[in-house]
Amino acid sequence: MADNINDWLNEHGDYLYRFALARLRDPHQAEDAVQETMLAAIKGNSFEGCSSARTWLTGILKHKIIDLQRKQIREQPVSDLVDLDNSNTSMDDFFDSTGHWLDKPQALEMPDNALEQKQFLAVLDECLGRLPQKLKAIFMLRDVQELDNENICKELEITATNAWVMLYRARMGLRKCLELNWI
Amino acid sequence: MHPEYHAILEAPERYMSQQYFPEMGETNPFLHLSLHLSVIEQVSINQPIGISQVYATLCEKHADKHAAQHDLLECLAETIWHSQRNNVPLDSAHYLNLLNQRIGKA
Repeated sequence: MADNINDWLNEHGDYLYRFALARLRDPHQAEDAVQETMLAAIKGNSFEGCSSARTWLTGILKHKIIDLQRKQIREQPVSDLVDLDNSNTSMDDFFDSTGHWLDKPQALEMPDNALEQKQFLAVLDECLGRLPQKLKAIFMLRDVQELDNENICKELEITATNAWVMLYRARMGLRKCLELNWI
Repeated sequence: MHPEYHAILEAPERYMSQQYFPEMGETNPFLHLSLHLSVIEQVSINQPIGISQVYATLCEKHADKHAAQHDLLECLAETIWHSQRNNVPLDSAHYLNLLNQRIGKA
């Protein structure tokens, strides 16, 4: 078993860390998630060889990531309100009093070379970081991890209609931030 | 319908500009009831075609019109989100497909 763990760490540690980092956007949390995955793998010892070790470990890691995101959400409700009060994601900024767009949404120019892509991802990362935690979490769960809505509602303990509203607000918040910082 | 919103509806000038935080478990009563009105209207004219039958089946399944409407409005909310996300007009075929999934037809 010990050999297995060392092999898994050597072979899959970097992959698992990158997988976690892409979803959690926090190096410390990503390390925690990988560590907890390894601990769960040792403790459970349920690898049956039906899939590859990487697939099995990634499956465990996905659950650890969701646990961490759920914990984040429960611990930071007040800061979310502060962010919204600062109108970082206020919907009023987009529309006039009749509900029409103040400014027509601009098309995002997608980066076409490696340097621009790197810069774009840095801006996107920054914008994601500026979203209220719960909006960021639901955006990551739906648009990055592509979890279905039923599971998202269970994980975040929200109603289905509120989930769609939150996804809308997350998207609008990101759009606003990208328009200010990228276009 | 939704007696918990009645006080708010009776004083709209006081509540219209209030912010609601779905991430805190709050529901915007104006949005929620407008979704109810939308699906009631759709059922009354059977648009998209087939929604009336889906609604009747759901009413039978839940033995509760309100719960059946909630099933419909969740599909409608997803269809609106789908339209916004993909920058396309409302897709009635997609909507109908979601509705049919609710009754195990799709």
